[in-house]
Amino acid sequence: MATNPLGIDLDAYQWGFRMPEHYVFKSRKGLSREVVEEISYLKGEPDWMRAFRLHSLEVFWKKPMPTWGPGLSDLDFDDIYYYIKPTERQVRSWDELPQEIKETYERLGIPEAERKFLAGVGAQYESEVVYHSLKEEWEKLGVIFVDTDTAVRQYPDLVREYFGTVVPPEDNKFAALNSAVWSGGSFIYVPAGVQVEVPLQAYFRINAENVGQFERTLIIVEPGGYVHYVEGCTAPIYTTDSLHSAVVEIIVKEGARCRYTTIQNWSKNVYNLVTKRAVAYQDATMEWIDGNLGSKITMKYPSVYLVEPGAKAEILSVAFAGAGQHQDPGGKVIHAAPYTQSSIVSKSISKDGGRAGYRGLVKVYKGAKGSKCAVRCDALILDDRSRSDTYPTMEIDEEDVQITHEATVSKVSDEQLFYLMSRGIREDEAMNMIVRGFIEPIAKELPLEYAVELNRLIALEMEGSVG
Amino acid sequence: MVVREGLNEAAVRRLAELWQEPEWLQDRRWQAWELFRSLPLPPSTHEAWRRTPPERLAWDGLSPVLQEQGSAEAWRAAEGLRGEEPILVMHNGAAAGSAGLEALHRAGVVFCDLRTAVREHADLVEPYLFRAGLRAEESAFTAQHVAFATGGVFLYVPEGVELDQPLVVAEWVDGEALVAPHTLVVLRPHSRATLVQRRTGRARGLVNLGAELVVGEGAQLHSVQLQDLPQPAREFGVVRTRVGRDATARSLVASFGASVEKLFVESLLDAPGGSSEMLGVFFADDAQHYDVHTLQEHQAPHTASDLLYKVALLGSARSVFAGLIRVHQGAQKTNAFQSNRNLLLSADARADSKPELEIMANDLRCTHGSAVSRLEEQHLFYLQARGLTRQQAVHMIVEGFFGEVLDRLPVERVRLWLEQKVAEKMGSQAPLGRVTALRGLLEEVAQGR
Amino acid sequence: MSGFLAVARVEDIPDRRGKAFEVAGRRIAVFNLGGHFYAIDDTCTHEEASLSAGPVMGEMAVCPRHGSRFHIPTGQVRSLPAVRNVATYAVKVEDGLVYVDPTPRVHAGRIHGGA
Repeated sequence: MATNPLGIDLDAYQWGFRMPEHYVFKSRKGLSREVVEEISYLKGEPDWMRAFRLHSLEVFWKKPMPTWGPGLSDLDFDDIYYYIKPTERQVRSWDELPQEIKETYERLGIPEAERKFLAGVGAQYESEVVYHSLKEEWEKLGVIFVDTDTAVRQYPDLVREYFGTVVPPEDNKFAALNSAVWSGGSFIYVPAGVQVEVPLQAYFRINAENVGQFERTLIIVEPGGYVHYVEGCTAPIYTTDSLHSAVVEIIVKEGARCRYTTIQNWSKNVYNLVTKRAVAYQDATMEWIDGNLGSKITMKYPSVYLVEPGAKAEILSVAFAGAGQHQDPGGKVIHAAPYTQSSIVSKSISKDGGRAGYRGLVKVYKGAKGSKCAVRCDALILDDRSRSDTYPTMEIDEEDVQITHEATVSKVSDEQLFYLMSRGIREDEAMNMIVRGFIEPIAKELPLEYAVELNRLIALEMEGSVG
Repeated sequence: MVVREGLNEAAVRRLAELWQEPEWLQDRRWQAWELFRSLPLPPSTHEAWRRTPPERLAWDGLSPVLQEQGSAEAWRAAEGLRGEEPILVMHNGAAAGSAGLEALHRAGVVFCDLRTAVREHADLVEPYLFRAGLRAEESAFTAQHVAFATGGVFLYVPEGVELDQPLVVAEWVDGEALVAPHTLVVLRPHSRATLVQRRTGRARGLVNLGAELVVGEGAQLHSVQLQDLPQPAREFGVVRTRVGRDATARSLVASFGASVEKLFVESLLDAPGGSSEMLGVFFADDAQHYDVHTLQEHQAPHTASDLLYKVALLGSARSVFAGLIRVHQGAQKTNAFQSNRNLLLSADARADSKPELEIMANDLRCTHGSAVSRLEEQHLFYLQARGLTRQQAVHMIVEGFFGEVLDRLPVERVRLWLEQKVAEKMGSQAPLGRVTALRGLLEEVAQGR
Repeated sequence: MSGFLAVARVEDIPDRRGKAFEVAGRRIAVFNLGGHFYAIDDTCTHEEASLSAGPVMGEMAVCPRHGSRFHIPTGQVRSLPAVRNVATYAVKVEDGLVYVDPTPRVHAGRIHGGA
């Protein structure tokens, strides 16, 4: 009996659907065994991945929808394209883009070539050159940085060993969905002791399917290695897709460190339901820096499992919810070994009827002696129609710990505004400065160009917020 | 239909007879009975019940207690709590005696057992009972509470009447049965009262408690609920306070006994200017399991709430604190604070904490904090270096931990009683704070906490 | 205390299935992998769930709640969200009966191997 590392029975999926030789794939809505088989076939995948997908599809069908958190009842699984060939994605031309997206790009000062890339308009642009020179550097060091589809073909053993071991398909309904229909995403392998100095950014991968609905990212940092991965971009990503459901799995081994930065800015029709999870071994450090500005609904709780002594986790989360948006981000830290440490800082801003907040879990297993965790959540509500929610959970099974949680919700104080205005600063600019100050602890952790863009984006969102 | 032996129609009828209750109340009871028959237990996958499976509060084989009148034993048990204050002694919901009520009656205050109240003061009771704060349709447990309400206490304070002395209720609960005592407090505008209630006894069954506290405009209520049931007993309870315009409600809930306790303690601030202080003291040992939900519900502007719940755990005890602050749209100028502190005193103890905020107004100040920690070895060392045994040192730190809450109590005797309970849990004869020579030390520790 | 206790007849546990038993106060799941019997703790180390109630996939017991994989012969966890291994128990088959020795043995090992 042949199985894959998750125990999925390859034989059980042998008798499945087979493609005719001159098959032409046509994107169509809805989800079925056939659609999943087609995706796997078009990608030329090995049997084990096809079996994994089909197994996951069955799990997806059986799993209930989450009964907590933002309402997802408007989500229609039959009205979604689960796979669109890259060539189809790229036929979209610059002129077809909605005017407001084009304007936003211009105001953010993003170069034209990059704008086209962001808009899904397949184009070459100058960073290709950058990418190639960096690529040579990485390859000399043994670093692998490719899209996950390529990794399945070129590094099958490595992918097979780790894929699905951090987030199994059964974990939750959307992880199961991603496991069935995933496409694109990044695969990163950092060999022992290698420090990748330049942040690896998703949009360097110009040949791949960059902006996917169902990305699957897998990062392995061997002992003593370091990598900073930057997902997505701060510019709004235009998509007609209504559902984005990614899975990110990260393994950080002894003494290694991984930082993962996301500034999410999906267009405001998107359900963004993402499972991100890392496991950190002895003295390893995992850092999630997660900004959420776009989407209609975001449910995303990056988590870190601290499974060996001395492992550390840091989660920084910023959320901004405007009209019609519900940002439900957060973080989870599982202390499963002694002397592990974590810190979570969350900053959320809601405005124009938006809803933002924090949902999190801190769990300390028995025996995780000397563990420390501090959680700090601050929310700013800019008007009386908006809402902030804070839902932390602490489950503490060990006596020898120090766990603290603090949260505040407040408005921009009149004193602060008055102070700034008395120095000749206009009210809207003063408000902007206060909000910038509020998110400063997180902005300062971003690479410079991202911090600049984040500030510009927030300034854009803040327009018209003053009388 | 759910089969619930022992808790049947005959029992509902018998209780209604015992109460000699008017028709309106019989209607409420029978409606609750229909709900009780049809409502399933909350599923253990439900977030509010995930950490305490409802089966732990199951009533298989239990019958409702049908106490006709109180016993002398209940009266004797009340001794420790008795002083000069007016007191009602209750036994499984039935009156067992009272003292010092004359002055109250002269002032127009009604302070009596609930069975008497529904007959003699129906006009005062009817608008509120099972309406003002607790409704049968909330869950199988509240339906059970109303359908099998065994008795309880009624306090009514007329407009402008201010009572300086606290009123005391000593409730004795025994037998392997379902006991469902109810408390209804109505403070009319600009009145003031303090109510201290203690549940103790030899109960081995399930106590299903309900309390509705209505604090009228400008009124002030201080309520204290002490739970000291023996460990075989299990308890479910809903304690809900409605805080009127410019009214003040202060509450303390303290639990030491029962094997399983699931409490919902809620303050509803639905008129401007209302303010609520909510204090909690929970001290569990052995395999005791406490699961407490609190709610600070701000529905009106200019309201304030301040919650401080302290939990200490020994043995393999487990606690769950789930506290929610909800500020509704339009409830501007709200001040809401919540603090949950958990002290783990043994390697097998376990504490969960879920402090939650749902905020739909922007002009407010709202914070919550939560911490789980163990004894600081430094503190222990410090105290031992001054001649205390380790056990005394631990006891002293626990006293200091709870002291922050106990210092806010209005009735000295209640504070002494609580300190004594803490001492008993610590295996000591008496509270250390009473040993004058140690007071200074205690303060030093308290400052370092 | 150790010693083998009979828990089931061989035919009670079909191939590639598991069944839970209360043995000396422990909930132990016995699995049949192609005629070889193995015993591990029945309760997932992540959240309360019965491993014998989930599917057997290859040599893995899959937790029905969140998909953690446990390698049946060694009890090792091979996929999050569980992080701790389950104990294994010695099993023997004699005269068509399955015996379990309820002395727990926990293997070392972690989900992702070292470099």
